[in-house]
Amino acid sequence: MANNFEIRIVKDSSKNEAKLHAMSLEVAKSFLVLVEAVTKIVENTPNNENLTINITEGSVKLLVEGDGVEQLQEDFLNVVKGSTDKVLVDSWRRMQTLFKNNGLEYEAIISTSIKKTRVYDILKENKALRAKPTKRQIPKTNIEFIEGVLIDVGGKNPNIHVEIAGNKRLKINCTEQNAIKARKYLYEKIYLSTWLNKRNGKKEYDFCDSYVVKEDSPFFKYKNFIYQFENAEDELDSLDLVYDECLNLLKLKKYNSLKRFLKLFMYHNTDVNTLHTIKLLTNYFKNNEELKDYAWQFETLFDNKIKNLNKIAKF
Amino acid sequence: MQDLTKLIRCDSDDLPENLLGLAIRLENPGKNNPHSAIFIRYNSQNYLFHFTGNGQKVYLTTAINNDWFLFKALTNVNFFIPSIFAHFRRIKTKSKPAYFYFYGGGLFDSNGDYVDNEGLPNYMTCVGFCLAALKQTLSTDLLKFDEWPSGKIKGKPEDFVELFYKKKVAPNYPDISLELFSKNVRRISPLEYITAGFSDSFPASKTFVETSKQRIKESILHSINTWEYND
Repeated sequence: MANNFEIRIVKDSSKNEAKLHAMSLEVAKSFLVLVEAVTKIVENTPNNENLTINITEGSVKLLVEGDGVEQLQEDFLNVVKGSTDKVLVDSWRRMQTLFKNNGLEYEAIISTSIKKTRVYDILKENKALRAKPTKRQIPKTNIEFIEGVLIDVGGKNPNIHVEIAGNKRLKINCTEQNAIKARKYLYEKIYLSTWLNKRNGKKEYDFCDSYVVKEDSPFFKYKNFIYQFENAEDELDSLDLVYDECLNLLKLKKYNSLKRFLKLFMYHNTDVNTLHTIKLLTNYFKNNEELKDYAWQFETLFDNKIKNLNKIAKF
Repeated sequence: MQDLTKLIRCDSDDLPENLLGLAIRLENPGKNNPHSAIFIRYNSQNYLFHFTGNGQKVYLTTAINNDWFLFKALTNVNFFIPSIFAHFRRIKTKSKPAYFYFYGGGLFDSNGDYVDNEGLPNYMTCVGFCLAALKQTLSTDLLKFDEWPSGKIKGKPEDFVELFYKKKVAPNYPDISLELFSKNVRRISPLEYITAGFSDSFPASKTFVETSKQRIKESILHSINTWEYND
């Protein structure tokens, strides 16, 4: 039984038969567009190693054959329904534009053992294919980097006050140890990472880490990292960024840098997927004297997170 | 919405946006052998993550209607499917498993490297691949693999394992003795793999799998008979 995707340019715009060995300019141009689109489609079809693209006589015929045509068929129907795969949608749309606009006569059919898909009719009838926008579910962090002058430290509930650009004052909750350490820098410029929370409708900052700023400071490096993380193409890429950064520091044995990096995420409000990505790496931490506390802390954070999510889900 | 406690077709769409499951490909004489995969639905798209002996390749592809795959959902990991999907994507890119009836409890770490406490090589079947890929995700073994008989493969010649060891294993892994290798030669079938998915807790015991697999097989056969292609 036929198992292929066949596209033919049957006639040119003056209704003359199209011939492979004697293509008019308009046929050759359409042919080029088709070859390019089909190549891109095959390239983006999974399991494509057994697919071949043949060009044969019989008007001007392009034939995709082999195991994998069924996948191609399924992907085509998905594209018509509304797919988020931009590359694939673009290729099919280029073919669609050709079919709709340039006045040549075409045929295009995918035949498999299951069904025949009249690609030409479907593309011609449908409005221009568009890739569905991917839901940009990028894990948001609530990490905020602050630079300003330290103007007050202490209190019964320890906190530090920082004056930032525009004479704005921020209050940052911290531990007693943080406050004692900070006092040394009173009236000096300081660089902090914090976690921003909204409690009872009010913005509140929790202290995460402080940095000494010289050249190549982690403050700017991490600030840039978090920007990249929150602006990645999609959430998988942002998770890979965290993963790659950890693994890279591990390989270089830069354990102190790794710990400081991880500190940014060591917080109950960190997104569960980010926590899980770090947890996947904790196997490496467990046998390392410098890191094993971090393995334990991230596993606890993750477990608590799941417990909370389960509680919320039950409501 | 599909009943997540039952076997579900992998091309179903009335499912939660994100989901993980154990998948089995039904036997379709002349076309498909039984096969196992990990089902993962991410962002409302269904994918199958699996390793085939034929071509020794790892795939992460969209699930399609005519492939006769069914899955059993594992619902305790729903909150972090994106991280699992990213993990699978890294394993797909970086792992290089080879095919043999072998599994000794190793796992694919998040770098795609195969990690085994005894330094065993990454020989595996389609089921072994799923077990190794799931181990870190589930933070436990899916089933008690060491309760499965080891040493020989049913239906294969007496010297099958020894020949493979001499030809493939010994030259590449001189530290691994035939004895150690044979200890972990075992075959866990796709049916046993998916049956483990019905256990209330993991790792599932061999006894649980043995006592439940006939029941699962019957529901699979029922699915074959009622399988329809949608257009």
